[in-house]
Parts: sequence; structure tokens; C-alpha cells
Amino acid sequence: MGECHYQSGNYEALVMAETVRRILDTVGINRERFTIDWASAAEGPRFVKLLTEFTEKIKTMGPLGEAEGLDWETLKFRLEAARNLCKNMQFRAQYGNLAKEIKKLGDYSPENISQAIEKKLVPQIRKRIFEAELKELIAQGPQAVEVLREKTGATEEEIGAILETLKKKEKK
Amino acid sequence: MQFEPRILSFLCNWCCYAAADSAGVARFSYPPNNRVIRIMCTGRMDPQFVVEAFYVRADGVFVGG
Repeated sequence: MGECHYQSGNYEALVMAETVRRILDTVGINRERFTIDWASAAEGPRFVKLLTEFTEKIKTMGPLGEAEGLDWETLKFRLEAARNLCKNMQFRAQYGNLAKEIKKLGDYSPENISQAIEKKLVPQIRKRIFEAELKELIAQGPQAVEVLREKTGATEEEIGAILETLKKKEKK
Repeated sequence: MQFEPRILSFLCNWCCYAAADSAGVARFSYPPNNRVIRIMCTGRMDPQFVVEAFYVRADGVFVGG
């Protein structure tokens, strides 16, 4: 850390990493499937060690979705919503602003990053992903709450709140 | 048959990518499961890259800087 060719590049990557972990949590993918680590140009053996360990970990975890107890169809459905979230300009601006803010304050400790993201980004991530999923599901016809919960992974309260806002929007 | 995971790794041109190169030159062996994408800096990474990787069914994503 701090030895980056571009001075602060790898610090900025930490914000990205935490954001990704939160998205994975929301989608229901084990966050351990994603890792970020450091090895300088001279540390070939360290790189080998990191990659070997990571490969072993994924091997014991099993294929994507299986360890999570999700079939591919559900996972694909959720990942599609996550993909749209990442492309969403409003969300990207929020993410960029947060990254800028953290950079300005210069506190890249994991606790600080995690806290800032928890406060500013996580509600957005969950709301936007679940809303997109629910819209999609409801367009297919009326659904039981159980089904909605199973497909999205959201809590009942979250589903309720989102449906409420969707209803309001429709009236307008 | 044993499960062979598909791992996508994003390596920084100046750090891990060079480390991977030097590991190769020094003839260290490491698992053949990973596919490497070279980026100029880990700061270039975007959440979208990782989500996209899982969307095309990568079992794991490794970012090395």
C-alpha cells in the first residue's frame, strides 16, 4: 500500500472493493468470492501464494451459486439488476462523490470506508436493486410476497416500502 | 471430476502483473484456473467490472495491485 505507481491508485481501489462487497451482499453472492490484495513487482512468490490460496478457497466453496444456495436463474436475474445499478448514472455520481469525499479527508482505514459506504451507499444499492427486481417481477403478473422475497432476497419491510413508492408513482 | 473454478483476475500493470511475470520467469508454478486482465492501475477498477465478471459466471474475482 502507498507504493502505487500512481501514488493513491490502490487506496482508491479500496473504496471500489467495499462497494463491490456490499453489492455482492445484496445480490446474495458470498463476498469471499471477491478479493483484493497487494504484491509489488518484485514479489513474484507472494503473488503466487496469494493466487494459490484464493484458488483453493474458491475450490472449496464450489461453483458460483451452489455454495450460496441459489439457482443460476435467480442469480442471473439479480445480477442483471446489479449490472443496471452499476450503469446507472445517478448511482455512479453518488459513488464518485463518496470516493472523492473519502479522498479529501484522506482516511482510508477499512472502518472508515465501511462506515461511509454503509451510511451513504448501501441504502441506495439495496433500494435500487430491489426496486428494479420488483418492477420486473410485477410486470410478469401478480406475485405472492413469499415469491418476491425468494427471488430478490429483500426483507418483507423493504419489499413493502418499495411497493408503496411504486404505487404512488403509478398514481401520478 | 474435480471442480475447476474459473477465476478472473485484474492485475495492475506495475505491481501484480509484473509480479506474475517475474514468477513465470523464475518458474514458480501456480494454478492455471485464472484468466488475467491487465489494467493500468487498480484505481481503474469499477464495481461494474466485477458484477459483469460474475454475470458471465466467473466463480471468483481477484484484484491485484
